Formats: sequence, structure tokens, C-alpha cells
Amino acid sequence: MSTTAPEQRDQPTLALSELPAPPPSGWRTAERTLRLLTVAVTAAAAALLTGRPWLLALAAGPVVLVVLAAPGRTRPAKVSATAEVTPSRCFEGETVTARISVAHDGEVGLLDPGFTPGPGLTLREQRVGAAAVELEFTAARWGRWTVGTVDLDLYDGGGLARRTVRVELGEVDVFPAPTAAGLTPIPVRLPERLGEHASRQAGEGVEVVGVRPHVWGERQRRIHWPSTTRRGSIQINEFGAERAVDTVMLLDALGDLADPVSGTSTLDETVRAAAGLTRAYLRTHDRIGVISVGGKLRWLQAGSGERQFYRIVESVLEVRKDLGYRTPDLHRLPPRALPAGALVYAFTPLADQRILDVLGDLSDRGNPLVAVEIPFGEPAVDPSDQDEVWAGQLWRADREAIRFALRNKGVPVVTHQPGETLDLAVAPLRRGRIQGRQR
Amino acid sequence: MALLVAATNPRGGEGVPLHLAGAVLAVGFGWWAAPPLTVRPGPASARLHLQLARHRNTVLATVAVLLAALSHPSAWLAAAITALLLGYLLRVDARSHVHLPTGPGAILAACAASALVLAAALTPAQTSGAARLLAAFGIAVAAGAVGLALHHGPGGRRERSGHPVDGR
Repeated sequence: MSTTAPEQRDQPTLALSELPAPPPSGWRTAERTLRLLTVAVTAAAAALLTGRPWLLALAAGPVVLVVLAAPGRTRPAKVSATAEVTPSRCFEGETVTARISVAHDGEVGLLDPGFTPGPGLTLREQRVGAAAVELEFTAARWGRWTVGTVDLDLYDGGGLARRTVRVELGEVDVFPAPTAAGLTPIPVRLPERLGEHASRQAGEGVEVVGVRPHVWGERQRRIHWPSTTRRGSIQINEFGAERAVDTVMLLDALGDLADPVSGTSTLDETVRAAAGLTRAYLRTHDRIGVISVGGKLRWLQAGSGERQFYRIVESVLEVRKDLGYRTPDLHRLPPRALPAGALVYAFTPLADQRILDVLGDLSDRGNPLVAVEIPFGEPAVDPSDQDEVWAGQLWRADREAIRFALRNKGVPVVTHQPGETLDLAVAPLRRGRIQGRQR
Repeated sequence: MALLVAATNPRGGEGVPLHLAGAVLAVGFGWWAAPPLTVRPGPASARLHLQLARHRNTVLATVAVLLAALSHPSAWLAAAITALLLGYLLRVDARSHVHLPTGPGAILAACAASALVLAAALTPAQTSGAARLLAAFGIAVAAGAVGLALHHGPGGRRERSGHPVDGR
């Protein structure tokens, strides 16, 4: 197999996927045949017109080359190609391999693949063999992507004619690479379900929340001796109950903004950050649900376990289908999507009034709510242009006003910088417990 | 570029400055058109400049033939043009996008055919008015023979490559 380094190694283009024009059917003359016959015909015609016989020598060589390359009756009449793409699901940065096998009768010469890539994958390497072609891609961005289309040119034995077979490589699900996160802030009130978070209610956990007088029949090993000697009566350690927390990830998919400097996409970072926090909560056996707002409202009821992570991720993959967006259709969030008292993390660039309305609605319901801002950079300002400077200041003031309005409603706003661990953004929330309006 | 320069016959007897200017223009054209195309041929375009760019190797070889037909090269220059043209065509085949190197047997046969025709053409002989008609007839016969060689009859369904088409 020969290996070639294709030119499509750059980042995938942010454009709607377009299917290339269908290739012509059947065998057609190859470039080489056209070249040789054109030269031969020109030389012969020139010899006849000018009456200079030596010009026929210019025609003789190409004609002999064409005749000797003629494949006879070995040119295939039936050709088919099948593609196998593995794996069909992967995470960002992983490798996807497509193997295209060609079946034919007769004899073929070279295979020449022409690849039209889908928007979410980058072609890394292509290997062309005698009867198969292997393409290696890197999954560059999360989403449900069309892998691409391969127009496979088959040359006959002499390379005089070629035939094109089109192969669709299907779709591949690219899951977002979760942002690193380990901290799991919790709300004041936790549901009555066993978990790993120490609550303020008395229970059978391991975290001491206070001492109280001993009641006859209680276990002696719980006696808190320093308090007992100080107060003169037996005092017992009181432990906090360990509860699980219901958490809902609210994804703002109303728009996808690109940072003017780094080019990072807010939708990419939104889902990566949500996936990271989902993993962190699932590690502590909490129940996680998801709501994505934008295009079409999608939600998944809260659940726990490793499979819930994949269910959540698959439910949001449709948000971005080959970079095509449907008209936003936003209604009130369904009650079943939000368990009572569930902690809601809203991942949003805070750039759309509709998501601010949703956050206001959630805040009014009394759910403990945290807004995780996904920044999308600042607009480039020419310092020599005073109007632009003022516009920039106004833009920053507007952004700060949005944050202030949310904080004023009791919604903490934290900022997650792309590329950083989510713990840096979430750590301030660990100083206390997140309070909703219902206290 | 050597092919184009030779085809312009820069040391031609009459109008040497004109021939030299033609040679300079040919060098410029050859600089653009001579390198073998290394990109995969895409869908055909209706625009002339795109088609020219796509077939520039063919255009170069054809222009060389036309220039050689318009100039009056000496016998040794005609031999050089023939050799250079054949060498260029073989190089383009070997270096182009699909890499179709010609076998040594085919190269020898092509060289021998060109040399034979060139020798026959340069041999002094008496000509008559019907010579051109006879030549046209000979060329037509040769074209028919080439057509027969390239004709692809209803064959090709014999299993040869070990990659059968399942059930079809």
C-alpha cells in the first residue's frame, strides 16, 4: 500500500456539508490517453497540411504508447465498492478509520480516491492498495457528522480509461471530550436519597455535624468524650446524613459564537464543560439530567450510572447536525425535566435574551441555579477610533450588567475559560451551599 | 522548455530576432505549463482558463508540435525535437498525479517507431503529386488500426483479479 499525505490536514471547515456533483457513469478516457492522442492527431494533421513528413515521427511515439497500453478485453464490466467505518462512535481527538474495498471482474490498474470530507473530521492519512483504500481521520469536533464521500477512480490495466465509483462513508458520532472536573458543589436541600454528599440533616453518615445529649440505648462508641467531660453528662456525636443530589445541565444551544481571536466555538466548549461536570457528579453517584435549549428543546430525565453519561451525550449530539440549525422553538421547560429542588447548571455564553428569560424562569421556580459563562472573547477594537473604543466600553458594560442582574436574582455566575479545568470555575461555589429561592 | 525552444528553431535562417522572441515567449510558457500535474483531476469546468490549467501539459506538447510544424528545423533539430517530445510525454506519465510509468519495452518500441518514421521521412526520395493523398490514406489506415486496438469488445467478465462481484 502506498501512503500519501493529503492536503486536507487543516482544521475542518465551518461550513455546511455539500455533496459534490455526481460523477459520470461508465468508463471515460483518462488524461493520459487524451494527451497522447491529441499530440498524435495534431502531428499527423500538421504533417498533412504542411507537407513535412518528419512531423509524422512526432505522432509515431505517442501512438505506439497508446496501442501498447490498450487493455484488450480485461476492462471490468462490473465494479462495486463497499465502505466500513470503525468505530462509529468515538471521542474528540480519536482516530476513525474507513476502509473501502473494491470488487470487480476483469483487471484494474490504479485506484485513485478523491475524498470530500464532512465538516467534523480531518483527513490525516490515506493508504491506497491494489484493491482497497484506507482513510484515517481525526475526530476534531463533537457532533453527529457525515464522514464524507469518496469518489474512487479505477483505471484500467493500461491507464487509458477510468471509471468513478462513489462511496458514501456514512455517519459517525463524535462525543465531546469532557473537561477535567472533580468538584461537585451541592445545594442546601438535598433529596431524601442515599448518596455521598453530607447534608445538614442528621443521619447515618460519617461527617460529624454536632453533639447532643445521650439517649438511653445509643451506642457507646459514639460518645464524644471532650464534650462529656466538659458538660458533666454523656454527649453523643451527631452525624450528617449522606444524600445524593439531583443535577440538571442546561445547555444553551441557541447560537454558536466563535472567539474572534482563538476561533473556539462556544457550543463546543458548552458541551465539553457540561460533559466534564456530568462525569464528576456521576462519579459521586448523583442523578444527572440534561436540557438543551435551542433549535428544538431536548431533555433527558435525571438518572445515574455510567450509561447515563452516554445517554446524555447522545441526546445532545443532534443539537449540531452537520452545522445545520433549525429555527429556535423555545417553550417553557417541561416540569419532568426538572426534579423538585434539582441543582441546575446553565452553560451559556450569555449572549441571547431568550436564555436570560429561561434563567429568570428557573430562578422564579426556586431551583438552585448556577450560570456557567462560556466566554466568547471581546470584539476587536481599534484604539485609534474613539467610536470603537466607546462601543467596546458599552459592550463590556452590557455584559457586566447581565452578570449583575443574574447575581441580583441570587444566581451565582462563574466563568469557565476554555482549556482550563472546570474546578477553577466551580471552586468558589464550594465555600457554601448553593441556595435557591425556596429556603 | 528545451522542447519549446527547439521547436521555435531560434537559429532559423530568416527572421532570427523573431525566432529569438518566440523562444523567450516559449520559455515563459514552458515555465508555467511544463511541470506535471500532481493534483487529482476534478470535475470539468466550463471556463477556458481553468480547462487550460487542467490540461496544460497536453497544451504544452501540442504547442510544441505546432511550433515545430511552423518552423523549418534542420534534420538534427527535428531528431532532437522528436526525442524531447517523447521524453516529455514519458516524464509526464511517470510524474503526474496517478503515476503511470511506462515499461521499458513500450519505451523502446515508441523510440524505435519514432526513429524509424523520422529516418524514413528524412531520407531523400522522389515525390509526386499523389504523395500527400497516399500519406493521408496511410494515416487513416493507421488510425483505424489504433481504433481496433483500443476497441473494448464485450469481454472483460473473466475472473482475473481475485475480487469477484458477489452475486451480480
